Amino acid sequence: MTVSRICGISISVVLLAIILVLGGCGGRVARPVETIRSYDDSLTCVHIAQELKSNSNRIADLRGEIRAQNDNNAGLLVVLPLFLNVNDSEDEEIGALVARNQRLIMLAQKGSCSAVRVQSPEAVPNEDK
Amino acid sequence: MAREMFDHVFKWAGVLIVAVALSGCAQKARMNAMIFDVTDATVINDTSPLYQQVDVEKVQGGEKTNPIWTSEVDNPEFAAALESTLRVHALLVEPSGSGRYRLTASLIGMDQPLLGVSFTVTATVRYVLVDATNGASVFDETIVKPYTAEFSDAFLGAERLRLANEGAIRENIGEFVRRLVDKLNVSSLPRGAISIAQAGAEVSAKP
Repeated sequence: MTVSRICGISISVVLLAIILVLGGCGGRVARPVETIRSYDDSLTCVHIAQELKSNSNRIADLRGEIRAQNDNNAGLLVVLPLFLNVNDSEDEEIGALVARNQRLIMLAQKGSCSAVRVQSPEAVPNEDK
Repeated sequence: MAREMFDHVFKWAGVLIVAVALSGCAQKARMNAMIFDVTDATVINDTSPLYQQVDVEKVQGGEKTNPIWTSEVDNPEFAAALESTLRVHALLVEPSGSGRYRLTASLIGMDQPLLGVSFTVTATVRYVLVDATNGASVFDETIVKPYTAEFSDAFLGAERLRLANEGAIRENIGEFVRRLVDKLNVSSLPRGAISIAQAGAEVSAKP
């Protein structure tokens, strides 16, 4: 067996198979937040307001990540297409955060947290992604 | 001849793919990914002595990421993640400077691998909480917490190391909040007092 063959199969064929299997392997798995949590009824208005704010920041960051990835993908397409990020983890996480924010607004209304609603501009998804 | 050249190119391409997949260089940790969300064990109510009473006085020890070396956790990101975690837990006092407790956090170290399939990063952080009313130290613990980013979490080594860094800090901050709530949420109540949570547990435990 020569170095250029593994178990009788040409290395080039093996590598081509790897590239086809792994193509577009950039990115990461999604970690979507849960919409309903067991302690929701224990949250105070402060908890709700702060979580809404934090989620909105996360949504803004994730949108930034999506934009950065699109730029990276443009470069990788030319140089190293194997590592293109074609997954939608960020979109999935944004969707989950929006759903959680909607749940928080509902909890705020239920708990008569008057100031909370004003602080949740990102509760409705922005379509500019 | 052409065949040999083709094989040669593919061999080097293979080496490159394996190297990139296994290596871990250089993306900065994301602040929002290091925030520890509220859990059943860390939710407090507005009668807790900790409720909006913690002031972050000093955060130190983070390291800047060198783009040609490994991913690190910068001090501003670590400080912001800690503050945001305290904020979503309704522990952080705002405006700062008026809380009963003052917190100092020192990121002592991030033990991280350079190569691997799964990346386990261990964050070591010392948290010191002082009661501003009398200067007494009410919490002084060093928390060591590992987090593993699996190969399935991200194919690229650099991405995987970043996820491991973020996870290690998130879990470390989470453990701090858990211990803090455990220690001060109940023990600071007047002697003989019983929290609503405890009372509820006792009632529901009866047949």
